[in-house]
Amino acid sequence: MTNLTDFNTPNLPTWCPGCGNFAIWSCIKSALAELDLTPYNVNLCFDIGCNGNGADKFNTYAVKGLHGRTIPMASGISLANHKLAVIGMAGDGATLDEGINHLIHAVRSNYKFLFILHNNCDFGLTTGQATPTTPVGQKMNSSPYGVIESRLNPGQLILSSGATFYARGFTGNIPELKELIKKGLQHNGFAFLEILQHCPTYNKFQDHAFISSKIYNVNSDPSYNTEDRLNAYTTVDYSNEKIATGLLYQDPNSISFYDRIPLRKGIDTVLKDEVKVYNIDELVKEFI
Amino acid sequence: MKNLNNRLIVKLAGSAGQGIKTAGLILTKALKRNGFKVFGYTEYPSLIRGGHNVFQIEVFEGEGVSLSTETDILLALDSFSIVEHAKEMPSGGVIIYDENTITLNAEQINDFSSRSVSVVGIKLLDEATKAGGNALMKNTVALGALWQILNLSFESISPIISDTYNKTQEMIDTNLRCIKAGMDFVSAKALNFENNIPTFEELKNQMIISGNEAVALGAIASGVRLYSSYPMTPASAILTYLAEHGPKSGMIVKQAEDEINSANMVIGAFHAGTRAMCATSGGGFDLMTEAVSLSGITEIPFFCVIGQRPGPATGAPTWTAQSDLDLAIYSGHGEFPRIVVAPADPKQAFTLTSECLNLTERFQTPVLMLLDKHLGESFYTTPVLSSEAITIDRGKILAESPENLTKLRYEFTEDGISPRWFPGDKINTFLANSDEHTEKGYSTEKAEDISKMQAKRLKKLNSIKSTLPDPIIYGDPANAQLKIVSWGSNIPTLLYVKEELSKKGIEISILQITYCWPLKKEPIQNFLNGDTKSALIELNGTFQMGRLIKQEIGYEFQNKFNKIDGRPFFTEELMQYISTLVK
Repeated sequence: MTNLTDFNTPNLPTWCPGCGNFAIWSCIKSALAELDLTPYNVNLCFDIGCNGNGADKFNTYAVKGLHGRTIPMASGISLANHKLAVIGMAGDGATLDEGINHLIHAVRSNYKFLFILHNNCDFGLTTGQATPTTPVGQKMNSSPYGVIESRLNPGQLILSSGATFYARGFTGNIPELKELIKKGLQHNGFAFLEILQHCPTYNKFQDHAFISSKIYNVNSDPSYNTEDRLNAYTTVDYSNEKIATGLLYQDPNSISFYDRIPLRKGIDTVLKDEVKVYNIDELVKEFI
Repeated sequence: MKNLNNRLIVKLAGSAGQGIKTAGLILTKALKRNGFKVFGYTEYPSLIRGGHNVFQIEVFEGEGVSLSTETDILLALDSFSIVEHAKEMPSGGVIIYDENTITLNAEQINDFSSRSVSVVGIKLLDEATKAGGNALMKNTVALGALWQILNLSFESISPIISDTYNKTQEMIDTNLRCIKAGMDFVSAKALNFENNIPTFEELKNQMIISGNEAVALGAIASGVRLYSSYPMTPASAILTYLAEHGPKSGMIVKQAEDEINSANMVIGAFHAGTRAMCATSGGGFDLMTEAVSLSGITEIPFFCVIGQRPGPATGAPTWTAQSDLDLAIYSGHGEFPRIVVAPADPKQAFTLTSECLNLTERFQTPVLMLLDKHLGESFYTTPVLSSEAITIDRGKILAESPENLTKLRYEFTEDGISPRWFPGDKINTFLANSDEHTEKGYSTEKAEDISKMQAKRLKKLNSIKSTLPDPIIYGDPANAQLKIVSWGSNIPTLLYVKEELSKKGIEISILQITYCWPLKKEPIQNFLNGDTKSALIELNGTFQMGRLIKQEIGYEFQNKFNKIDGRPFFTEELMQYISTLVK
C-alpha cells in the first residue's frame, strides 16, 4: 500500500494563502495513494502558471513543459507507455488560449490520460489578466474597462467535440474532488476534469464563498444519467442559477486512442520496451 | 541517332492528374531492373489537377547522379508539354505525343524536321481500347511506346507491369496487351533510336528509392516506435510511407493537429523511454522551435527532419532550396548544444537517420537533419539498404538497482552527460523541468545553480565535437585543380560532374560537409590549405554554409556559385561554372 506522504517532496508550496492549489495538491496525492499507485508508475505533466509551480511538490516522475503544450506532452508519454498513470494539468489560460487546439484534438483522439483544468478565471502568475473563462464585463489587469470577449464554457466545448469523460469539481469539496480524480484515472480515454478554484489574489468576482453557495453535486440525484451528453451540456451552462459539479458525462464504452489502433491489437509490450533494430528485408523488396 | 556521352534523358510530361509520376516511376524501375543506372527527377506545382507535371529519367553511367537540362526522348500527354520541352531537345531526339488529345501545327512540324527531331503521334486511348483496356491504361500504352524507342524487349518490361497491376490476372493481361500495343505501334514506324548506354549486372537488384523513403526505412530499422507529424511538402512522404507500413513495423503513426503537437509529442515519447521522431519543412519547423529549446533544457532527446523548400513563408512549396541551414542551427531561444546534419543521397539519409537517433539519445539534446525537395522526392539507384548497417546506441541508461534509488537525473558529470532513465523504472523520480533546475530537476533561481546547470549542458558541445566524424572528401585534394566545398543533395550531381571533367583532363576534389553543426574546423582547414583554387557551391541566396565556415575558421571563399530559383543544380551549369574557373 502506498500513502499520501509517499508523494511528498521536501519542497514547500509557494502559492498564496487560500489558493485552491493546496486542495488539488492533496487530492491528487490521496487519489494516487488510494489507487495504490507508486511514485514510479505515475507521470505528472505541468504547464506554466501557478499550478506549474507545484511541479516540484509531487514525488512522481514529472515533466514541466511549455505553456499550452501539456496535452501534447502527456499524449506522447501515454502513447510511449500506456501502462503509466498520466495526469496533465494546466490553467484556463494555457488550456483555452494558448493550447486550445490541442484540447479539441485530444478529445477527438481520446488519448488515455487524466487532464485537469485549473479554472480560476484568470491568469494568476502574470498578475491577473483575463482568460477565456473570465466573465464578460469583468475588469482585469489588461482589460481595465471590462472583458468584451464572450465567455467560453470548457465543459460545453469538449462535450460538443465528442468528449468521453467530463467531470467538474470544486476545491471546496475535497472528498468529491478526490473521487473524480480517481474516476478520471480509471477512464479508458481522455478524462477531462474541470476544477473550479478560487484565486484569492486576482479573482475577487467569484470567491470561495460565492462558488460554495452555488454548487450542487449532480450525482447525488440518483436519476441523473451520466451517459446523456445533451443533458450534461445544458446542466453545465453558465446561465444556470446553480453550478453543477460531479461526474457529468462518461461514455462507458470509451475506447482510447491506443486501443483503437488495429496494428497494436494483441501486443502486450509498451513502446518503451520495443526499441531495437528491426529487420527491413521485407520492406525493401518493393523498391527493387 | 543521338547518344550524348553515354547519357540519355527521357522526359514524361503532362498535366497534374495524368499519372505522370506513376508512369515515370515504373519506367525508372524497369530500366534499373535491366541494369541501367537511373535517376528520377520530378517537377510539379502545388496543384492537384491541371498544373504541369514532369518526370525526368536520366539514364547514365558512373558516380553520383546526372541531372540534365536537355531531353532526348519526350513523352507529351498535353500540348503545353510540347511547347515547353521541345526546345530542350537536341538533334536526334524523339517526341512521342498523344494524338488523341494533341494536334501539332505546321510551324511545329517544320521546326522539328529542321532540327532533326523525330515525332511520333500515337492515339493512346484508341490503342488502349483496342487492347481491351480503358482510359486508365493510356499511360501503359505510352510506356510500351517508350520501351520500344529504347530498343528494349517486351520480356524485359513485362515482369514489372505484372508486379504493378497485380490485383487480378485480367488486369495484368490487359496491361501487358497495352504495353505490346505501344511497342508494336512504334516498331511499325521503323524509328532507329540507338541506345548505347551500358548496363551493369550489379544494378539489377539495387533499389530505386527517394530520400524520404530512405529516412522512413531508417526510422523503422532504428526502432522508432512513434512518428508524429503534420503533412507538409516536401516531407509528407515520410508520414505516408510510415502510416502505410505501420502494420509491418508496428510503429504508431500519428498525424498531429499541428507541428507544435508533433514536436512536443515526440519529446514526451522520448521522456517515457521510447524512440520517436517527426519531419516537416521550414514553415512547420518554425512552429517547433520552442520545443527544440525545451529539449535543450530538459535534456530529453528530440529528432526532426527538415525537408527544405524555398521560403520565406509559403515560398515555392514543391521546389527545392538549401536555405534553412541558419534556421536549423539558430532555432530556439536560449543556449544549448545541438547537432545538425545533412545527408547527400538516400543511402546517407538512411544511415544518418539511425545515427541522429543515436546522437540525440547519447547527448540528450536536439538533433536536426536537413533534407530538401530534391533529395526527398527524387529517385536514386541505391544499393539495397539493410538493418545490418544499423546499431542502436542509447547512451548512458541506468538499470533498476537499490543504489540508483538516490541517483539524480541531472547529475553533474565530467562530460556534461548525466545518466538517464524512464518513468516506470524503480529509480529515483525526477522532474524534467523547463524551468532552470537542480540535479534532481527541481526549479531554482539561485545564481550558482543557474550558471552550473547552464555550463553542464554547454559542456556537451565539446563531447559532441570530439565524437563527430570528419567531412567526406572525394578525389585527391593534392592533385586537384579546384577544391569544392558543398553539402546535401548537390553532392551526387558534383560527383557525376567530377567524373565527366576528369575525362576531359580536369581534376577536382570535393569536400562534403555532412555534420553542419557543430562544424569540425581542422579537416576543413586542412582541405582548403594551399594555393589551389577553391569554390563554394550551395543552393541559397546568402551562402549560409560559407558564412558558417568564415565564422568558424575565418576562411573566405573567393569563388562562390549559387542559385535561388527553386531548381537543383543541373549538370551542365556545374560543368560550365567549374570549366570557367579551371582554365
